[in-house]
Amino acid sequence: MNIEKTIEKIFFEVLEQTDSKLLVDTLHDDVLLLESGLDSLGFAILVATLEDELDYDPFSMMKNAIYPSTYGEFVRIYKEMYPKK
Amino acid sequence: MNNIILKNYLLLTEDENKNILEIRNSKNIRLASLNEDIITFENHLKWIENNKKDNANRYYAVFEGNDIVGAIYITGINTIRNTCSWGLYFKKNINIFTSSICTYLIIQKIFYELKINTLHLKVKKDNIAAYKFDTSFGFKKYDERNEQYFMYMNKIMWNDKKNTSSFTILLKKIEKIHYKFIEG
Repeated sequence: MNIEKTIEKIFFEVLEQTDSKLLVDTLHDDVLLLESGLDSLGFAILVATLEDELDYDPFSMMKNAIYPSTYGEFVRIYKEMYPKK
Repeated sequence: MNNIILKNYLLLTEDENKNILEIRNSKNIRLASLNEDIITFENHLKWIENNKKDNANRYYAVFEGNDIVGAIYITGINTIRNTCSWGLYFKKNINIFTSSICTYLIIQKIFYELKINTLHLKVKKDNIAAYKFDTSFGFKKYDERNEQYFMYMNKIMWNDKKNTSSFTILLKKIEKIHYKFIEG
């Protein structure tokens, strides 16, 4: 499974579902999450949808939760917390 | 995520009052508020004393685990017209779900526990993030004046919103989270 592609696909789906628009030219690692077009409700929906799709929520798995400020950090957290089976 | 506790301001300890006031007085929150003034601790305590006699307002400090991360409140409860207003503020860098969960919980409380029919809010026009957030939750703008948008939502609109696909998936997540209102 390509986590990065899954996140990108669902990110755009949630943008559409929440009547939001991408506020930057392209979605890349340095994009600040709060300037991407999704608001805090949008990110909550994104994380909930990703949990449904990927079967894990990295933020609830962390002992001391770290919250990403950029899209790149967001994706990296999902990659690093991918459950080893 | 940690448990979420929403504790009525009337029950806060002195340290908890200091913590919540520190968040309220932080620059980013103050400047987004309708009242941008710094509030002194003395005035904060006087205001809490006054609120003890006033059933129209309920303020809750939001705890993530043991830490206060923000506040959410119901104001102007009018049991004759069945209306009220609400608002919130949160620190930066908190759990990604907290503000959305608390908003969901307070709206549910307003419509189903307080039996309010119409919920209002005011938001500064330049607070684009808050306006977008409120719109995402289903609020509609009905007026604008003094650099503020006036928005409302009734119970029917709320129930429609809760049935949208994006909300359904969020509600599944909220159901797994432990939360508690401490009212005293």
